[in-house]
Amino acid sequence: MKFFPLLRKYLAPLLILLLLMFAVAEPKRSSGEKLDEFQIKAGFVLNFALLAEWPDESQVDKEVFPIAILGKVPSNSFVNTLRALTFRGKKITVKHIESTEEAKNFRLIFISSSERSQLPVILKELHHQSVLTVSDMSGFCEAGGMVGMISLQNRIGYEVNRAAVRKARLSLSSQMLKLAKKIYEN
Amino acid sequence: MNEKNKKTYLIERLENSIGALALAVVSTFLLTILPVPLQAAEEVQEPGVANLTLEDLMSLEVTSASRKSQSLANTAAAVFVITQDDIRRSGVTSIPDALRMVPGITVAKINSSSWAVTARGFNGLFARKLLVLIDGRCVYSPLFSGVFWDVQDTLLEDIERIEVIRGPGATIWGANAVNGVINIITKNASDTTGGLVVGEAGNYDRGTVGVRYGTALGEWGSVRAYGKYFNRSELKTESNLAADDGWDQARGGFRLDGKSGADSFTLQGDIYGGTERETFNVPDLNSPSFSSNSTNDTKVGGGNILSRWTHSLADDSEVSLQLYYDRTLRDIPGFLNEQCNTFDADLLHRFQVGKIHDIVWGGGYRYTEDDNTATQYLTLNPENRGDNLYSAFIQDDITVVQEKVHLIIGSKFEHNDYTGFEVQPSARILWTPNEKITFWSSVSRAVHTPSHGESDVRLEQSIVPIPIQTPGGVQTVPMPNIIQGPGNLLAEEVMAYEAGVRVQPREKLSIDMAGFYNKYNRLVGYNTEFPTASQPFILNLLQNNLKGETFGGELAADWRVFNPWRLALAYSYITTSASAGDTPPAHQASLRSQLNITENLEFDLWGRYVDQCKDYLSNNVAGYLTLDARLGWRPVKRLEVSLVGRNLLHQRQQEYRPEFLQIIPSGVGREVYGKVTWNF
Repeated sequence: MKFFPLLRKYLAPLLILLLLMFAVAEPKRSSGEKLDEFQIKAGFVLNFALLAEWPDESQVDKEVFPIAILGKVPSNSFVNTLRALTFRGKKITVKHIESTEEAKNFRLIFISSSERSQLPVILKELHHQSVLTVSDMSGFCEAGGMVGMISLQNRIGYEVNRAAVRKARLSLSSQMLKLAKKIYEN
Repeated sequence: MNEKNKKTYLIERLENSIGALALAVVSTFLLTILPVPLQAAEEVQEPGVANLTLEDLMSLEVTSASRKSQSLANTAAAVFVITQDDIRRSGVTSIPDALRMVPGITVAKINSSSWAVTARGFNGLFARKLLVLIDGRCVYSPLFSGVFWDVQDTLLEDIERIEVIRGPGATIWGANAVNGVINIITKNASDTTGGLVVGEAGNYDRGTVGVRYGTALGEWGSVRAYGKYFNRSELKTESNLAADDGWDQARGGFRLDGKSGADSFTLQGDIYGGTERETFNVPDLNSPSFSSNSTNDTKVGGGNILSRWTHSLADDSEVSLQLYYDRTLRDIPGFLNEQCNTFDADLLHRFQVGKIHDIVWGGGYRYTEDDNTATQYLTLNPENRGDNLYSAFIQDDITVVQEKVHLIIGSKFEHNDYTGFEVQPSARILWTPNEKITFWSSVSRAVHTPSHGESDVRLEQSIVPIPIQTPGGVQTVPMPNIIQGPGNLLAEEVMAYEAGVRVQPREKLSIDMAGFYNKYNRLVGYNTEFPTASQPFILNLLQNNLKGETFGGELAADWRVFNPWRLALAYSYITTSASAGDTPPAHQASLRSQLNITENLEFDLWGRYVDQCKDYLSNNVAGYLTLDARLGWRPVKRLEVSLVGRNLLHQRQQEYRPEFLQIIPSGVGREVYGKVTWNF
């Protein structure tokens, strides 16, 4: 009979200790954090790569999927997230490049909004290469870029310029075209 | 209790708190050092975006790096968030019932249409130590500074989340956030495009129907409109008779959100009306017990409109302007005939100074017009009041050690028409030694300013037979028992000392603990004067003649046992020495289980325990253990069918007895209802 008041008194600290002891036993794994804007954009870039087809698969590196960032790196979380993702079992490498001359070594180029003023020149230089051009600067597709990520209120979507994709001898899956907010034909 | 007992009581409490504190310190110390060797092992970092498809990514909400919204994990206060999913899977049909899952909050149903809700003690029909806001609009009634929960409602599916902060939130939110702040946030209109139809029916819920339709407005905005009607049945009284307290309510509203570059804009409004049947125990000279029951229909109605404009400036700063108008009407035959208009304007500016200071400051003005008509038992003097409230606040979040230690200091300054100038400062410290654990501690002062009702009321509550010495000997004379406001009440004050820890020892387990010690001064109580020749009635004059202390703690734990099964635990403990009002239940516990049997089949359970408590007359109200169960099924993508059973463990449970107004209370019993939700 005396046990019950005693138990009630120590029930709370006992419960806490039990929970904490149980908690200590497991090793740490990555914490589930809320995603920021650039982590989400990195996710988009991976999906664009997965839903695109390149013409010449023979030259492709079997180990690695290389992505280039042309211009100012938008955010460290963007690069870190891309580096932590895998593309069909291959590791993704991210390299920062300063000019389009190095572009031929990459499958996908992310053109930073810092290069806005140079955009027509950049796109002209990349014309003959089968590189998927992606950006988050406004007006990217209208200016001839292939896939442009856009801000819609508090979400992210994207546009596609089919003509630019065709010119580079690439193709995008119909699923990707279906979800695009706008499709440019020239 | 006498001095000796008081001493042993205090010492015992001190021993308990030292014991608990030592336990907490040792346990958390173990937690922080033990995982260190495990951290050295290779970390498997699977980014959150890894398995998301295009559709998933397009549905995520973005907190852009430029708008520094303070994540709740970094708040130096006891916070609990009720998500839309928590609401959906709990099977609740009203906002107060959803609050039962929050540690530190006590919810008690008084009759079919009334609730008593409070944080950390001092509950009552007119509990007034809790500030409640819906989308930034303050919803407590200026008449009693309490919340009329019967009219705080919306389409529950439109609620994005409910943020509950226990402890004084006065620095930013203002007076009456003495024990806590509840922020009910509805979804942005862009999240509710398309159509929704909801229908419910059961033994207590005679019928609820809700419709909502939303659409995008070009590229810049979205708008939605909704309508809702419900009809709730009666409950049973303490003597197990039908209480005849059914009620119904219709409401509708809209919300428009727009964004263009650095500006975002919201416009929203609601309108509602309803009828509630209630039975009151009223003074009656002709009855042998000098009281009789009177059943009448209370009529409620109101509407509001709110607009908010936020402009983001360069380098992480923003300015926000909010304006709202709120009108409420309440007609309780014999007791109240009130119309209230509120106009409020608030300005807020947030900016950074270097990497060290994150400052938010602002000012506001509120004009409240409370008009009453005298009724049979209750009058207010003056009947009509127009009150002005001027407020300003400032808060600085100082980064003392980059990413690790923050010091947050601030104060609110208000001028009101009852007590003049009030200052409510607070100081908080936040320490994050690593990303898995956060310690916080705070000291704050908060006040509750008197309301029209407390200050100016005169209520004939009952008739009490009093033995009076007359020339002919002692005679029993029936005397009116009057409750009266003095016209010049002071503000109630609290000094709150709090501390807490938030820890995430594993990816799928998080634990949040908080403790508090509140010292109250100038609490409102009664000063009772017995009848005299010149005062032929019992006068209970409201006065600031009480003090008190409360001490306690809360624990919330969230554990995803394995992917389809989640457990959520909430526990609270409180002990009080205050002799004002009721005595809160010492222990409260809530355990929710959410199980996804298959991708389309959900089975949810919710067990709750509430300890016994005492009402305002020190009568016992029995404690209870109860269980809710829900089965949810999605036969096709856009349709959800659910079957819910609530309060399954008892036939009838009295949860509270109200103070001040003698409403005949009724108890909750077993409820069952079926619900269909269709998206199109």
